[in-house]
Amino acid sequence: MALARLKLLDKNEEDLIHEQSLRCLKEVGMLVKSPIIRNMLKGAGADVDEKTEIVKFPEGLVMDCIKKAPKSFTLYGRDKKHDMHLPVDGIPYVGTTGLSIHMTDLDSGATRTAKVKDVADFAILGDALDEVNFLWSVIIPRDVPEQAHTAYEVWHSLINSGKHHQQIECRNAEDARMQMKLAGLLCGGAEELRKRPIFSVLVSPDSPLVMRKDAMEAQVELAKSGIPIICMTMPLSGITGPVTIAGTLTLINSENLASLVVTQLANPGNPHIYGSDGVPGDMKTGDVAYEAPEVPAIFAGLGQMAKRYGIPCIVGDWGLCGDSTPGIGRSFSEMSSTALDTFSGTDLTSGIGSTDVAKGASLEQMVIDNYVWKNWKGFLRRFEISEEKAALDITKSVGHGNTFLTNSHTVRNFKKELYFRDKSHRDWEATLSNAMVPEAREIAKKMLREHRPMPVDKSILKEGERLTTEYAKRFAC
Amino acid sequence: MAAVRLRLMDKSEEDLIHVLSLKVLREIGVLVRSPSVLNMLKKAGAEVDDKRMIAKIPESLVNDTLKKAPKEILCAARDPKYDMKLPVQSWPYMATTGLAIVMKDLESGKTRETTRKDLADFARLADALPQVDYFWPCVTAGDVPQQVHTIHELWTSLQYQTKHIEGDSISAIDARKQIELASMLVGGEKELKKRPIFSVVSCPIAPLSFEKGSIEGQVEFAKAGIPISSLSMSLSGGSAPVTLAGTLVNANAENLASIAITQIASPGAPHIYGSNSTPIDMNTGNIDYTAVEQPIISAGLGQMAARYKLPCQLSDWGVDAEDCGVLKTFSELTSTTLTNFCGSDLAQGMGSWGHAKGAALEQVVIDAYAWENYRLLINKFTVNKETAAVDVMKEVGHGGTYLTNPHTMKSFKKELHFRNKKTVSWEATMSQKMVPEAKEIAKKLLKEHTVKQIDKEIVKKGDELIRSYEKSSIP
Repeated sequence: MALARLKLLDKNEEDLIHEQSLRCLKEVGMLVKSPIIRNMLKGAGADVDEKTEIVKFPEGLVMDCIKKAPKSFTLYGRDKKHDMHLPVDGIPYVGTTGLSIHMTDLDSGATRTAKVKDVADFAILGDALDEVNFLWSVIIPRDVPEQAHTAYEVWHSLINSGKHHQQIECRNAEDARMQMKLAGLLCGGAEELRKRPIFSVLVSPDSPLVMRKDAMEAQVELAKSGIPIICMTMPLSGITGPVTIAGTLTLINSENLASLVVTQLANPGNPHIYGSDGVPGDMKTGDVAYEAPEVPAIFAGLGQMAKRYGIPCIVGDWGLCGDSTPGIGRSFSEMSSTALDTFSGTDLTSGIGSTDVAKGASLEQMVIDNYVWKNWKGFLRRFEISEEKAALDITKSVGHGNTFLTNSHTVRNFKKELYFRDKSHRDWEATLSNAMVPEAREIAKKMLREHRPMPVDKSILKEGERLTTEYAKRFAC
Repeated sequence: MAAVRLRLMDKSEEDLIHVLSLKVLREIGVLVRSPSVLNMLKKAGAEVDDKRMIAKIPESLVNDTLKKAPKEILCAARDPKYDMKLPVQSWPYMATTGLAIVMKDLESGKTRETTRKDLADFARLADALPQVDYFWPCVTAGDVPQQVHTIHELWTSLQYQTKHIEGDSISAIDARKQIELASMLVGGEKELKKRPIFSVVSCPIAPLSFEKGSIEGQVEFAKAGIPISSLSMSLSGGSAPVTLAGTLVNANAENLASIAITQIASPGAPHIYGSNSTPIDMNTGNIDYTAVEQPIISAGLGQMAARYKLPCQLSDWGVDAEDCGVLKTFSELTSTTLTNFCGSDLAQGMGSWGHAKGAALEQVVIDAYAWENYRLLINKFTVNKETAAVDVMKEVGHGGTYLTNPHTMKSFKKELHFRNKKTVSWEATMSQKMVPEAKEIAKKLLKEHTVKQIDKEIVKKGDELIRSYEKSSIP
């Protein structure tokens, strides 16, 4: 089966990125701030300098961990019908944006911080929207202690949606245990959660080449319990990564391999996802330049590296806003920088509902991004290239210079072979426009009013409330 | 050098398209409505049914002619600074749309038929816009006799702009006259063969047939060393099977047949693998340039061209909506723009509207500006030990910044590219707000831009050639 995907590297160039990444890990190494993890790496054969905290990874260790990492696995939903099998067989799974610090108020349109109630709303809308396959922890609630926000995100996202939840932040090992406890409540215990992890966690090295103590210890804790890990490094070319595209690829690949080693040492065979959101930095403002022309090239290169290792990946974004208020605030070619990276061969993509260069989130934007994705999917689907589909017999019977239009082969196959866009909201795909926002807002409101996510037993809800409240109390000043 | 390319098939699927194309040529064959070309094919080893005018081409002949086709082609220009060398390394060379039959009047905005004078305007505008790499005669010269319109179009295009021209032809004699005309500008046919300042599109008629006039013209061009682009129009569900695989086989087979004809006529003659294939709109029967499958088809054919190592022309550019502006949605427009990732060497379409039946000067400006910003996505990058920069990583260290490192200062302008901020604001889809400004720019360029003149003596000779050709060919 054939898929249209963007490729950047030829075989030699791909080899070079791989070799230079191994060289980077062997010669430059990672700064690992956790003694526990340094110890674990040392035990596995890494060269550790306790004084500088730098760990150098021998090639054998890296290659061994690539072998151990599973090549296919499932990200489960609380509702089985939302289970996602990786790698994908065609169109990538798409998720929401995550870790936003502000949102657009659905009534006033004003920008404000979020509460736990908003976390629930984003989950309900994500559950209701057909095209959304999984949720990220969309936004940080500010009405709970800062140290406890992750627990609230996990809990309120899971109980308000039947879809898989990806937690974007895990503060430390204790936080990891709390998140697993909450998810375990909904699965029927830790063992059940290990069998059907209904959430996964995104935890990454900091670019360039740093592994923070708390985050990495959380990663080990999660991996030991079978929770899938998503490594999403984010060097900005020219700022926290080399300005060259080849250098950016090498750094991202090195950091991913290092993260993979940690997961596989903690729990051989644990699901681990290769990922990145690394794009050029805006050399003037230091901002993330998602609209830079080089973005699809970077993601295409990373998709090739992930495929080389056979590791499921998240190397591509979806999310159209690009402005501080909802709508499609970017030009056609700028939008293409984001949208084309979904052709990287990625298994997962995320960003639905994002505004303000991923610092903001918006419910109406979720509706807009969801709609456009539906039309975009046509490009990403599979095609069958076979002797039967090539239809030489039909060509013979149609004859030279004649038409296929009236042939029964055409009538029988056209709905299967051609993709028809939804033309009901063409104005919603206007770039440099926010004309679609009022209608999207009404749809979001209606869905929030009417949609009922898969229910959770009342006693479990109560227990989850108790656990999160108690957890929060420990951090209350 | 690495550049982003859209790829569709794995090796075995690519093999299958090749094998099935050979089977089509061997078992179904091509309909060639020219006794002389059929005869030529017969002599080269094809199995010809003279009555049905069908030539079945054996595999050995296809492979042999593929070998003879050059892998590198020069598309020269009257002004050598616009010479184009194929294959490209990054984005394709871009041309205007071609042979529209109506245009938007720049003053009144009204739709009207086109003349030689209009073509001259399009040519001068294309000459002035740096985003246009070569010229398709945008509009038909409706004020000349239809039997000789192509020669007038070539002559006007040669006079009013200096970039490479890709035109078309209607017969062997027309082809000969075009060759003679262009030869005058470069100092003879030998010189023209070395520096072909024009090329031609020679479309097979899908499925699998060749018209007498254009295929006999193709033979003349091949002999003269004028590059030929066999732009297959395999329209899924119309002139080709509705299935993607069937469309690919049809377009590939037509190209292989056309290449065989060129190479038999003149071994080593420049030939460009081409296609402008997309599904038809199943409701209206029109060509559907908004179809999701269009870039997928180009991606597949891009792989086939790369397999044969042939320069190719497989992509389009231009909004081509019902009116000027950008009256398409984001994903509809992507159906066209994404074709440029297929690895194409040549592309065209700036300035079109109304399913390419219309052209507009202001639309040429709009499409040119958008292309300037979009093409950066198809840029090339160097991937080597130095750019992979592990040594720089060592220098910067863990958690350090690259911003102040000399490597960043040295490389950032080479590696990162920046869109033209002013024209980015024109790229609003579902909008016409950029049209008035584009009109002003078109008017200003037409007022101010001067084109390097052709020597007066040559102009006179060219005019005479056309006059005598008209006399002999029009009853």
